[in-house]
Amino acid sequence: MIESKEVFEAFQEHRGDAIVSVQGTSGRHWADVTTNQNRDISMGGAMGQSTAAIFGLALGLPNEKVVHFDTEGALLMNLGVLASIAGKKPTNFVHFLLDNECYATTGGQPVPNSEEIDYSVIAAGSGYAATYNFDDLEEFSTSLDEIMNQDGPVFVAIKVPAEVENLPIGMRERRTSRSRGQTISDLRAELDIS
Amino acid sequence: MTWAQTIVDALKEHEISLIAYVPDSSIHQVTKIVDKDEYFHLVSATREEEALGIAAGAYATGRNAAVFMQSSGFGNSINAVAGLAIPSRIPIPIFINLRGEHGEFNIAQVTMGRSTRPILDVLGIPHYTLDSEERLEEKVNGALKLCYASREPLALCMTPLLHGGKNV
Repeated sequence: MIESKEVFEAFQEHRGDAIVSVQGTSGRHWADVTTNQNRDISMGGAMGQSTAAIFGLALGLPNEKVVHFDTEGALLMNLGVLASIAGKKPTNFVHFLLDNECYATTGGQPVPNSEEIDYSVIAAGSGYAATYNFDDLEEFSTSLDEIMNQDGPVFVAIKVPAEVENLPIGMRERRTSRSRGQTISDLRAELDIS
Repeated sequence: MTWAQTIVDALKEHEISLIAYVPDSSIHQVTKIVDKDEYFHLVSATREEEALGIAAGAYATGRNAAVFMQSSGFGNSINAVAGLAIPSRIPIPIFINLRGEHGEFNIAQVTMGRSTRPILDVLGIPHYTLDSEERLEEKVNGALKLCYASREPLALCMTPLLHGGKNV
């Protein structure tokens, strides 16, 4: 396994100008690592929708690198999106999957068949241009240059530890964050889209 | 001009260049025109809520996007509208082929077809029914203009009286 925060720290070194979206409990670490918030976009919240939304974003911005850090719980809700993505072959799309094998935000209940699913095989079978599977930080770090510099869609599955929250939702500490609408406006301003 | 061509022309009029859809025999009359026209980017989705997600992402990049689906598929995608499009203020024209209307042969389509417009009402989504070619251009153009002015999703429900439906 690789700590989610370490995944993001390694990725940040190779981000370049990529537009970055994160999802789920693991994705929250990105806020502490990112250095270009105007190119971060939030399509989370509606679980199961964000993969398709970032796919749509990649189609709309064919000249920008678009990176999505998905989670296995969200992806499983709409697994068919892998076929839709592979069918359109967005060469600018890099799809990471941080797999913590559970629904961490609701208390750590396992996703179905949590320990045995190989998501990179599902992505490969769907027709992604390249797929990877990492369990080791060093191996991941040394592969990032290749991952970020090849034609997509690329899929990268990484096992991460679950960061389970057991506090009732109302008692959890909330980070201040931009609303989804605000991240869309900020990105559009950054890209000079009227 | 056919009803489908009228809709395609209205899409262009409003610079809607990305169409995400789940196929249906009536919708095919529109998507087959779209597919041959280089102005459009036609994206096939495996499920209707996915089509809404794709349209939301495209809108974030400054590209207007519409979705096409059956009423049964609208049933699949209610939370994509309620949880993504509405709170993010993303205008998405949703073209719904309203099944369960005149001439319906499939019992599985009846309940969701009948429930679609009441559900749209409860969600607070404006919707208009397209059931003839009379004033069609005016209705579609007016609805699309409203959709972008209000920055909210809007539905256009197409019935068999418009497109002839499906017989088998």
